[in-house]
Parts: sequence; C-alpha cells; structure tokens
Amino acid sequence: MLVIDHPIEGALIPLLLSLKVAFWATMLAGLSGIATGFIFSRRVFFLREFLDAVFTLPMVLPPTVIGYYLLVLIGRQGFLGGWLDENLGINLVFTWQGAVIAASVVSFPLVYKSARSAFEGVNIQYRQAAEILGKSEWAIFFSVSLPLAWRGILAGCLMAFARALGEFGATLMVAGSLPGRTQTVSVAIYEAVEMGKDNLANFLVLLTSVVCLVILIGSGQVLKSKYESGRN
Amino acid sequence: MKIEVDINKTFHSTSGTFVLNVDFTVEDSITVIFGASGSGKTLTLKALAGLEKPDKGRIAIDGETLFNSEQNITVPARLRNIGYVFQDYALFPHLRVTENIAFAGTSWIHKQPNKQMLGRVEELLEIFELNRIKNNFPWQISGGQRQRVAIARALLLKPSLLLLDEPFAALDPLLRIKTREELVNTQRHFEVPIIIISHDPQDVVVLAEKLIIFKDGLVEKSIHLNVPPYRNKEGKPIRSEIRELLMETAGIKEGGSTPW
Repeated sequence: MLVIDHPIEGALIPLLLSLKVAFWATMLAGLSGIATGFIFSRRVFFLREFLDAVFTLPMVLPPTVIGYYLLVLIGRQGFLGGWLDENLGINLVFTWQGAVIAASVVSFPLVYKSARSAFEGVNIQYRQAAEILGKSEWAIFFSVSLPLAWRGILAGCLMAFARALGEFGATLMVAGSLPGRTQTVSVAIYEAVEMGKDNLANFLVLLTSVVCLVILIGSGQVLKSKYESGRN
Repeated sequence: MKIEVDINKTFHSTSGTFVLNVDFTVEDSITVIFGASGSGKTLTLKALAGLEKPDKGRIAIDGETLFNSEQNITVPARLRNIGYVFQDYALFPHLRVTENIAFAGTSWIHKQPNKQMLGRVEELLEIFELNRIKNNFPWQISGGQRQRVAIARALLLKPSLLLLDEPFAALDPLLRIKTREELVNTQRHFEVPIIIISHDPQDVVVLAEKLIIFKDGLVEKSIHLNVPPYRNKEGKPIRSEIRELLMETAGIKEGGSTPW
C-alpha cells in the first residue's frame, strides 16, 4: 500500500506548483512560439534557417546547459538579471517565476516547431482567396491561417505543457529546490529518492506518468484532421 | 468595361526559364483565354487579380490603373475588387457554405455579416440553389455545388470583373454542359464581365464572345467570336468554323481525330 507521510506538503504542494509553473510556461512558450512559427512560415529572411536551428536548440541541449545559459542571463550577476535587480529590484533566481522561465525556454521549440509546420501546411490558395476577398494580413491570420493550423498548434502546446511539467535540470539550476516555493514534482521526486521516501517517490512518479500519458493521448486526438481537404 | 493587360514577367525554375509576355484588351462579357498547360494562362489571371506581380507593364480596368511598373503602382489584391474562382475552388474547409459566401462581408471580430450583407448572402444562396446545403462544410458537398459556392463567394462584393481558372476541369463531362449554361446565366444576371481560362475547346465554342489564344507565354491570336463567320444569323456559334480556327492556331493536323 502506498502510505505517504505528510501528503499535503509532500505531494499536493509540489503538484500544484508544477501545474502553475507549467501553465505559465506554456502561455509564454505558446504565444512566442506561435508568433515565431508564423513569421518563419511566411517570411524568407537572412539567417532564417540558422535562427531556426538556434530556436530548436533547447530541444536537444542538455538541460544543465540551458540552466547555465539562463543563470548567465538572468542571474544576479547576469546581463538581464543584474539590470532587473538594480533598476526594478526583481530577482528571478530561486523563485517560481525563474522556474517558469526555465520551463518555457525548454518547451518553446515544441510550440515553435509545430506552429511553423502547421502554418506551412495551410494551402497558400486559402490565403490568396482571402486576400482577393478583401482581407488584410491580420484578418487572414485570424480568420484563415489560425483556424486551419490550430490543431497542429494545440498539439504542440500540449506537448509543451507536458515537457514543462517534467522539466528538471534547468529548473533545478535556476530555481533550486525550495520546498513549497520552487520544489516542483520532478524535483520533489529527486529529493524523495535521495532521502529514501520511497512511497512518496512512487506516488509522484506514477502521477507524473499518468498525467503525461493523458496529455500525449490528448494531443494525438487533437491532431486527427477533421477536414479532408484542410491541408495539402 | 475595358480591361487592358500588357505585362511581362520572367520566371526561373529548375526546369528552365519561362517568359510571359502578353498584351491584350478585352471589352466583352465573356472572354476565354485558351491555351495548353504551361502557356501562361493562370499566371496572367493571377497578375490581373494581384496575386502575381509582373516585372514590367501595365494593367488597367476602365482606365483605372491596377498595375503600372513605370509609375510604380501596384494596387494590392484586396483592393482590386475582382472576383476569382480557383481551379479547385479553394473553399475554406473550416467554414460552412453560408460562411464561405459571407466571408468577404465579415471580419474576424464581427463574425456575423451586417443586415445588408446578410440579405445579399441569402440572395446568392437562392440564385445558386444552395439553400438546402447552406450549413454543410465544403467536403460534404458535390463538385458542382462547390463550384457554385465559389462563384457565389466571389460575387458577394459585386466585383467589377470575375476571373475563373479552369472552372469545369474538376467536373464530370455531363455536369460541364449544364454548368456552362449556368455560367452564361450568371453573367447575364449579375452583368459582370467574365474571363475564363481553359484548355477545353468546348468552352470556347459555347462561351467565348472573345477568344484569346496563348502559346508559350505569348498571345498567339486575339479574335472576336460573336461575329460572322463564327456566329450564324441567330447568333448561335458555328462549331465548324471555330473548330477550324482552333486547329489552325493550335497546330493540330487536319484528319486527326478531334475529341470535340
């Protein structure tokens, strides 16, 4: 039997924190990923494919490398972090907001990649038809491109959410493992195993697996196309 | 309505270079641009609509310049008020028949068309006999219905010109005869000049008041078909004369079997 000591502190609080971090990380990665994906699908510009590779890097780099970059950037001595600390008194390291930034950087490529290919998959004739019918670029984006690409984008966002939920390395480096403040489920599992709390570890591991499985199934369902001629 | 086109554009691709250099004037109700695939028909239609930008030249409708390379004028497609029916119709797959037709009269903020537009949509649904399927999605209706939706959609804002790219190519042969007649009726009802591109000689025989023959990116011939010897006293097209004309210019050998 799974009996957990202090179930609220041990499991519920990390879980809620993980959900909060993953939610905001998905929001950040979602908006920036959709915008970037759309621009990259529509415009040809200098260094486009180089930038594409840079934006995809977080998917393949070790999370510790990303964590290191982030510390260099937003740490108290970092370029951005130093400025924020001096001028606005904001410190991101060892805060849940820092965890959000770490998780959104790691999950950004998942949104960006799927958004770009979803937008590229929308037949150019639909946009041309809309243009001839008097629509501006913005109107075409909201009335044609987005509705025809949303399945791919939503699937990407779900993957990003799952990825953000499971983020460990970069989060640990940037936000640390402060129980109740920055200790997310994945970090809590690590701590639980370290401290021999097997029941807690088992419970959190099962919970995480189930949540991620549900998300993956969900994103697969979303991707099933409803329109026969929707993409070609 | 006078449509003047004089454009020049060079395309480079892996299969070589293609030069489009066409010059024609149209003042007729139905014009057919006839030519083999790859003769530059669709490119010309797209240039008229504003989807392709020529390198050089000029496009004007009733003296109003839509494109002029010397004066550096390019009116964007959305401001040209030209109706365009794509070869495979390009109906928005996420919108119902009514929504497709109303599209030009709605915005992404106001999804409902205003009263005047709504009346116009209902009128088009009626004329094109689409009421029964108005709540269907494009993939739920037949090819002929799809074409009627595409034409209705293009006519919503009362365009000054209607362009159709191979409008009958996607239909089965029996349906073609009927839809050609419908198109003539549409032209009369809406009094909108129509330019059709086609490689089907039957379209030329039945529809063309003016025939423009394209060959390898050039205008081979531009000729009125609504006068003798191509029309009889009743104004009906004389098939044999038109056929001879097409064979002559298309370089089809006499005596060979012709499909029409």
